[in-house]
This record gives sequence, C-alpha cells and structure tokens, in this order.
Amino acid sequence: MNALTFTLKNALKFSVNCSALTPNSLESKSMTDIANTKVTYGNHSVQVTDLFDITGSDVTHIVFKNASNKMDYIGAHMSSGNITIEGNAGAYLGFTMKNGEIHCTGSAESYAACNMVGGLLKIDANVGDFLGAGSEGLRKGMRGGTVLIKGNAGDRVGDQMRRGLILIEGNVGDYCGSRMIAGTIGVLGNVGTYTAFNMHRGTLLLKNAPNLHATVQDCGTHTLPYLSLLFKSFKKYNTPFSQLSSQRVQRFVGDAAYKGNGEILILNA
Amino acid sequence: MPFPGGVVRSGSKVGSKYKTMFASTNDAFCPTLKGATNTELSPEIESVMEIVIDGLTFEDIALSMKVGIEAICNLGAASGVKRISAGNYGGKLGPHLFKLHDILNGSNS
Repeated sequence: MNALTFTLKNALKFSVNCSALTPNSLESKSMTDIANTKVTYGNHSVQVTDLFDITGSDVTHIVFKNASNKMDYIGAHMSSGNITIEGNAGAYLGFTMKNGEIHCTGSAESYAACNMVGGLLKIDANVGDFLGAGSEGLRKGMRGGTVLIKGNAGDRVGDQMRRGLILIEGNVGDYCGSRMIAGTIGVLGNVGTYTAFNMHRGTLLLKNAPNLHATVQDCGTHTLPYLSLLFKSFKKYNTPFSQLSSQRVQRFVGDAAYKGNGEILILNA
Repeated sequence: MPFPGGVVRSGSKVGSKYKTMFASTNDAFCPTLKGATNTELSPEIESVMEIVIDGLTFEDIALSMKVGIEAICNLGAASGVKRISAGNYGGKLGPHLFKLHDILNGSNS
C-alpha cells in the first residue's frame, strides 16, 4: 500500500487545522469517510477534498505534499504511525504528540512540539519560537519524546519543559531553557541572551558559551563521566550530536534568582 | 565499610534542609556545586575523595590517619593532590575531634 498522501491544491489564504489528519484518527475510516472529513479553514469548516488531492491508502503513513506554513496542528494528539511533511509546517506541529514519528522536510512555525508527551519529531530546517513549550495557561511544557532540529530555532526553546530531549544543530534565540523544569536541550550553534532565565532544573548542553546573566553561577570545569552515557543515547539519531565524545565541560548552575538547580554545560571547555 | 573501598566522592553531611532527612550532599565539598553554594574548595579543585575510617579507639584512628596522610604526601603535588582536610561537619557527627596538625606532630590526645 502507498502512503496516504494529501497534496495541497492551491496556496492557502487562511490557516487550516490539520489535527484531524493523523494516523490514529483516520485508521478506522474508509477512503470515503477520509475524503469527507471536515477541517477548519479560517473561520469555517471545509471538506478535506476542498483543499487537498488524496492518493494512497496506508493510513499508518501520512504524507503532506506542497505543505505550507499555514497548515497548523499537524500530528496533534498523534499516538501511532508516521507523518511526512514535504515542505513547511505551520504552528503547533506535533501538538500533544504521544507516539509515532513526524518528519518535516522544511521549516515549522512557532509552538512545535508544544505539550509533546512522546515520539520523535524531526525538522530539517528552522523552527519558530516556543519549541517544546507549553500552550498558554499550562504550567508544564514538553513532557517527553525527542525533537531533532537541523536548522535554527527561535526564542523560548524549552519554556517550562518538564521532560524529554531537544537537539538543535543550528542557533537558537533568546531565553533558551526559560522556566525549564527538567529535560535536556542540546545546541551546537550560538545561543541568544537570557539563556536559562528562571530555570529550575534540567540540562542545557551547549557547544558555544552564551553570555549568561549574573544569577547563573560558574561551577568550574570538570570531566563528567556520565556524559558518555548521554552521548551514547544520541547514537540512534542521525545527528552531529552522536559524534560528541569529550567529557570535559564547563558547568554553570542557575537560575539563582529562582533558587534553580538547572545546569548549563559548555562543551570542549 | 559503608562505601566501596571506604572512599566516597564528596560524600554526605549531617543534616539537610528537610527535617525528615538526616543526611544530604556535602555541598561545601562538592566540586560541581562550587558556584551554587558556600564552597570550601578553590577553583582548581575538580575532585574531592573522602576517606571513611571506622575504628575502635581514638588512638587507632589517629594513627591510621597519620599513616594515610604521610602516604599521600609522599606522592607529591605532581600526583594531583592539592590539599588534605578533615570533615568536621560543625561538630554534629560526634564528640571526637581529630586535628590534623596535632596528629602529624604526634601531639594528639
């Protein structure tokens, strides 16, 4: 069987909510039912076939072709299967994702991996603000799973993150790890200002030293053997993080203004 | 022995910020917490090895400490040893005080 493919017919004028188009929500539906599925486009509902051409029948693997950054909530509440996005994705990619895998070949807008619980999210280009954060009003962000970003990320990466792993090969914006509760964020590029702002616990693994604020304290340079276990866990992902080997790091702790015990590890110190 | 080989890194101190926990990390001697606490360590120190000694008498423990300290000093600074200290724990651990200079001078009592 070929993957169930949704090919965007025309450029979107408004945002479309794609949360209904996940493997687990379509698994019990016939092709007719899938074609009649309603999605929210702008402020009204339309049939899927009004926006997409549908081919293939394997609902365990869904492909979005000609995808646009107006396609929000792709993979929302997904609990199984695979989604491939050929192009860009909109906001809330992988929203409350529980399991399975999402691969976006382009960029994604803000709030990717928002409230994520499990699974794997791969983005081949850039991502907007609030990666792995919690949605408005929630006190916890990402609670599990793995996010791999090949490009750059915006501000507030891992805001209120509770658990899980985010690996970013490019640069990130300001307030990386802000209000972070636990989990691990790795960045190979540069990091903006106010890194670890109000950080509670968790680990930031940084290749380049950021300009840290005064309430993040320097604990000196150390050789930490447990890093070999962390690096070993990266081996299963196709990422430059799997090539890290040095256990020599400069360790910072903060945010002291928040009585935080989060750690910032600067590699190759 | 309470720890493998009688050696433990940093170890624990008497008391904690939680009333139900009678021991917690000896943060003043923990190298990776230097910036986050009132540390007893200088910046170049990256590791603290705590040697736990169990003995029947004060004199036996003092003698074992003297022999141990002299053995470490004989290794020299090139071996990486920066300094030797004793954990007093604010006198909370028991009535005995082992003063290192007195032990090495043989004037302990």
